[in-house]
Amino acid sequence: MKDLEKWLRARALAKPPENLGKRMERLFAAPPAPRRRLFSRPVALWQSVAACVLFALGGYWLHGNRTAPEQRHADAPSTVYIIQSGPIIPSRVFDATVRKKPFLGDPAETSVLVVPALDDATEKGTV
Amino acid sequence: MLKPEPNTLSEFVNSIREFYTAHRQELFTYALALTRSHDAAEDVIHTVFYNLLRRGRAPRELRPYVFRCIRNAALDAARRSARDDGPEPVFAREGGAEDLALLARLDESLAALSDDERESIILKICDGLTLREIAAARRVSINTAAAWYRRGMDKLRTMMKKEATDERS
Repeated sequence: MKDLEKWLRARALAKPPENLGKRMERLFAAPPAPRRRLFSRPVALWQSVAACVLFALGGYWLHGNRTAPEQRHADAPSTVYIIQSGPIIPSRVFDATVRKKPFLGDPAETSVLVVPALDDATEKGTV
Repeated sequence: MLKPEPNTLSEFVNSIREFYTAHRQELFTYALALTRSHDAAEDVIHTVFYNLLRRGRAPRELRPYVFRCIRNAALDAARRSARDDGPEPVFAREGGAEDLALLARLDESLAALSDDERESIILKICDGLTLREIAAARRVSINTAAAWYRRGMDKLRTMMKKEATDERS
């Protein structure tokens, strides 16, 4: 194989045409403008990490500003029922055995105010 | 900021020009072997360097990169032209009648090899690429490139010997 390799290496190759040389000289004399690489240019790792941290902090700050302060503490009872007074209601509402059942929703998150009289039968509001 | 500084750009163009000047013979041989036509090979090389200059920056490994671009552009050109009249000889027609007959046999034998085998032989012997560079240019493992080359050379030697024996007898 070595002999064949040596023999092949000694062969002269077909020369590039003169026209190619002229075309290439023209190309190098007036090279085309490089493409704009807005999205494909290389970005350093620290720049990517810094951008992520910056946007995360910005998002956290923006979210905090857009959320009403009273909505940030949802552990207090959030639903208040105002119920017209009647003969059955007090026992339904204040009886411990009855209140275990989800009569008006989760007792831990519900406040019940019984008022003597209201125009509407039941009024519900969210605080 | 997006465009290279003029100084950097001119340096880049000069480095590409130097690369072309140093390797034009190899590049032309490879393009000719793939396109089978002097004109098409010329167009392929021009297109590849035009695109390289448009790229605006040199790749990490320029030589395998340019050979890979030439291969892609040559295959595109070959698909478009759909020539089927045998490969254009990459070896110059020089020497006496015996040499010319030998070169004709060599071209026939090269044409009988698979594309991968023929390319690896031309890249290694005519263009002087290492097996690592051939592997990078073709995006295959070094073992694959070495196998193509070894198999191609074995076949070529067998065919050349057989034809020489046939002629003598």
